[in-house]
Amino acid sequence: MTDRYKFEYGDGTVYANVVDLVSRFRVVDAEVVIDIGCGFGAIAEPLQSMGLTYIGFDSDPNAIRDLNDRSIEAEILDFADADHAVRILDKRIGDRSLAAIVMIDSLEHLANGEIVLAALQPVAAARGCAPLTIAVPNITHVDLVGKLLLGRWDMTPTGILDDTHVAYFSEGHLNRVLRRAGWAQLSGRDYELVESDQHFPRQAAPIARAAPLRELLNAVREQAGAGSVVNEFVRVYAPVATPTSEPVAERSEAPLLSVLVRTQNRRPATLEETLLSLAAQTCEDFEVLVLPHDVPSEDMHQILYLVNVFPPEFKERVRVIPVEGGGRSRPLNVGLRAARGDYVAILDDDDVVFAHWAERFKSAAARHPGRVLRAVAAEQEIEGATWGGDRSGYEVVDRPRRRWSTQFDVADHLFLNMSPPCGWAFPRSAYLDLGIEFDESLPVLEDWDVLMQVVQLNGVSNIEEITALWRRWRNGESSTSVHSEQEWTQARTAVLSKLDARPLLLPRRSATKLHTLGLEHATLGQEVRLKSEQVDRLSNEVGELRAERDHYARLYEDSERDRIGIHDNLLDAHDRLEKIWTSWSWRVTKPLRYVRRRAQLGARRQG
Amino acid sequence: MRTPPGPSVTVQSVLYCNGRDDVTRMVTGIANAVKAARQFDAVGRVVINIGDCSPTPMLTGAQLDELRDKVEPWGISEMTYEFFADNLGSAAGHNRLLSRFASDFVLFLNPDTFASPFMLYELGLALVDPSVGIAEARQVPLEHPKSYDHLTGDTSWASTAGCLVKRQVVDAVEGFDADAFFLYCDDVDFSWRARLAGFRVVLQPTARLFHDKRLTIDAVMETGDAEFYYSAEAALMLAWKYSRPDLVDLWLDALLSSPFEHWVRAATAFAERKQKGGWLPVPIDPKGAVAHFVGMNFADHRFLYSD
Repeated sequence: MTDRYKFEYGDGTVYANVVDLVSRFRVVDAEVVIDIGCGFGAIAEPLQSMGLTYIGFDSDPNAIRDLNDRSIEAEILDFADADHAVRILDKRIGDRSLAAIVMIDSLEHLANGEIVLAALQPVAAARGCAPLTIAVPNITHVDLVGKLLLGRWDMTPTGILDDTHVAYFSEGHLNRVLRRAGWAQLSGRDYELVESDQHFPRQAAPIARAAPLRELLNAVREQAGAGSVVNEFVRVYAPVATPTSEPVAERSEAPLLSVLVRTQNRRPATLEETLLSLAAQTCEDFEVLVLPHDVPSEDMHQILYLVNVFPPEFKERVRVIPVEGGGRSRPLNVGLRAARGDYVAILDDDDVVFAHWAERFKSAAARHPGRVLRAVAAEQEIEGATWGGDRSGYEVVDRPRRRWSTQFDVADHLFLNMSPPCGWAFPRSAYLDLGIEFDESLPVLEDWDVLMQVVQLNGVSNIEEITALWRRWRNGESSTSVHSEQEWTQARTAVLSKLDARPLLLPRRSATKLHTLGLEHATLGQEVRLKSEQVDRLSNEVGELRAERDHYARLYEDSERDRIGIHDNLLDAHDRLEKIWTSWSWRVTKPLRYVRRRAQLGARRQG
Repeated sequence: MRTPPGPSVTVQSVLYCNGRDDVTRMVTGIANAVKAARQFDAVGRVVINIGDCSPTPMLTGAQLDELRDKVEPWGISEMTYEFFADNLGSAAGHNRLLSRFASDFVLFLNPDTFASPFMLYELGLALVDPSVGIAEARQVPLEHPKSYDHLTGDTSWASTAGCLVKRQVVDAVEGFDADAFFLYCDDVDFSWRARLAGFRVVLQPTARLFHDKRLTIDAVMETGDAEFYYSAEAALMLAWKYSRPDLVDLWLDALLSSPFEHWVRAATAFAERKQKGGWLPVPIDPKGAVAHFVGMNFADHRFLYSD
């Protein structure tokens, strides 16, 4: 070994995290900390300052000499023969009590790491269950994800891809190795670096931090599990009596489909039909998880009886899992965790499916493995009714209608959810491998949220057949009536915000689709502008006509006023004439007026 | 073996090219419903009689034995299978099976169905009323649109896709009119004659029967060529039999001018038979006591399966 591993202890280093875990989990009042693959013993002095005795073991004589020169106890030890090495180590500890074991950046250098860990386990167990703290590089750092996309594997003298490493660890692999060797994790304090030593070439799209591709990789990597920016896992383990065997990866008898049926036991009339339609399927490659949500225990027998009365070949595939608390999403998540199928489908207790529902899912899964399997659900309106005077029932009030497109389109689904949950199934891998769950903070639209996440990553296999009936209640309680418009709006915003938080992944041909949508938008915009100009022109004309009309109205009013004035004057004159005609003086002067008129006539004749 | 308490039931179903899976599903469902009804002593001895109108037998002896072994422990005393070697149609097929009917009730069942565990019990419950002669199951997922009284269940007629019938009714009406009806409306006629004989026909909505009907992509009921032809023929026959020559003439005009070849053929055949004095059923119910024609439906419908 050369000085390339001679690192200094300091705050914010992996060593500080290791020392922190040792200080918190060591055996109280015990004396010795042994450091396996200690190198130059960067943590020796900090541990000594805690009153602990440090003993380093390494195969590198230079490192051991350096430690001895610093008056620190250390011994050359080769772990190629693990049992032999552990015997020497145990002998070196001697009568002293063991506080902790440490392995920093050494497990990845050991070809027989698991054997070494297994050999250490009884020593730790026999010496007061001394904890083991391990620091090991994370091969799943997102920088490496990006570099693999570039086809790069850059070995370096030190770091995550140190050219002397012989073993590589993800979090899962590390835990499995430790479990098999008889160690159970107690805690951890991982050492994180957003930019690891593999953060190059810095301008490459999968590496550059603000690049959409990097953001997408980050988002997927983080969703899949913790550790996307963990440079080194720093974990502390305790020896356990019984090593845990490897969990079975996949059960070969797992069904194609897990059907999650959530119920609040408020619709016994329709729940029976949901189960009946499942029992009548032409394909039996599915299990059913009935999820009674907040159903009082005294009412559970109704659901259990209902399930139990079906034929054995069906009821043996049904599990009833009561769920308490949470909103609409809670039972779905409980079901998701208990599901065993390759795909997961959701039914509410008022949905019914046609006999080929599962069969069509199966053939689509065979055609396009791993995709969301999306069939068409028809909508049917029903309303609550009472049967026979006292039994709760419902009435079908309209024929089924197809409201939604036969082909799934991501862009269309951004505007509106056109896929009721009873019509699709998604790969359980979305949950197992990518950690996608139903958002329990959403009061509604939890299915749309999951659908939009999964279809982006997995794609869709279209089943252009109606295989399910989604019931819309005209009256009575349903998600539409129970939740306010405000809740729907808030949920919609929340789902869109989650989609906004990462680059949107669209399927093939989306460029043309968006181009067409853009063109349509532009054409419509142009039409709107033209219409708007037309409206402006017409508005102006209307304004002018109104002004003209007002002008003539005023003229009319003026003339009307004049007419009324003249009329009044005439009336007045007429009154006055009346008065004159009827007056005494007029009557007495009548002969005089006669004489004058005659005289006037005579004068005209003479003239 | 002790005979279980409760009325005895004969279940009968007529196959036409229904595969083994259909039959297994149907038999499993009804046998399970028998098992469930037995918990309440609601059904006595049960036999299943299957008739087969298919061109070749749909069940082998081994398959039948396998089915018998499966359902015998659930309370099916006997299961028979008869290959008719002829496409008799549903009416004649059921009549052939009725010749060995010796139970209190007969359950007519389509082979593409699956009974709810409670179906038989619920249908039996409806027949407790002495005035009721036929109790019909409610079909799922595509419910029949004909109306029914939510309180009493009374309805115009009962579909033989799934209905339980008292022996007295079968005796009174002497089975199906297989001369007049081949595939469709035999159950309408059967129900109306039962009502003429004084029995009530009810729909029991709590008796659920899954009927494997499907929708086209436009959400209308899938209809085969035979259904087009025989439903038109049966409608004309029904109108004739129930003393509605006015409707016969009206429908003949409508069918003959329709764009559907099968309707035109059916109407042409009926018109020729009428013109040439061929066999037609003797008209009954002259005052329309039971016959109820609404358009080309035989009951008021809550909705239609097509626009």
